[in-house]
Amino acid sequence: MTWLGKTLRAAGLMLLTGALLGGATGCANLGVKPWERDLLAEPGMEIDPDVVITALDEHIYFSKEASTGGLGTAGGGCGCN
Amino acid sequence: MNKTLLMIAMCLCLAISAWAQDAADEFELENFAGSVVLVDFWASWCVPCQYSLPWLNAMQEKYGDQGLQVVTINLDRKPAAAAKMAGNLAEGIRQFGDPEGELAARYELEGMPSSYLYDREGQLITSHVGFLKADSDKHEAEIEHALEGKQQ
Repeated sequence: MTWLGKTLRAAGLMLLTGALLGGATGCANLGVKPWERDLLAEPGMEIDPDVVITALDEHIYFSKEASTGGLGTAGGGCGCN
Repeated sequence: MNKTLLMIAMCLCLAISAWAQDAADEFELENFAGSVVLVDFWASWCVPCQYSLPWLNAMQEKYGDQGLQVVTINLDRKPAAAAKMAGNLAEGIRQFGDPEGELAARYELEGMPSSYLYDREGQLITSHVGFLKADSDKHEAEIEHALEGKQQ
């Protein structure tokens, strides 16, 4: 193997090792510490802040789209159920 | 009507301003040598903390004379939110505020609330993450053991 080949091989190995190490530790720190969750605990951060509004939105959606399924409600799209 | 509201607002302001906690850098475990120390990290936004604080209050009042020292470390970034919850804590409880999370980082908290029980020599006996009312009797027994100087 030529000198250039050896160098390239060594560089490749180093890159691979770096990528593996990075992959292994990448999820070790997700950024937000347990004591920094004050903003995440705000009511406005909830995915579903108001179940009643969500239910109404879902009802309107399936009525308008004339479709059923996916939202857990049966109906034919007439908007009457 | 307006006067009543004003009075209530003033009382509330006084209650909040009367509540004070020491800075995090003043917290040293050695300062409580000779006491069984229960260090508890809490915050106003942490739901289980709403249940653990009254329990800590009760423990301080029940075992304070026997040498228990409850130390609370608040991690709120907004002191007013903490004051609402901690304003009526027992007088014997030593309260520290750690808005920057320095102590929390030093303790490497895994969750909220977190508590650490130390014996009279400052050796860690046990620690807990979270608070369940169902486990409070077990935690109380640990405190009693520590006060009696028994090993767990």
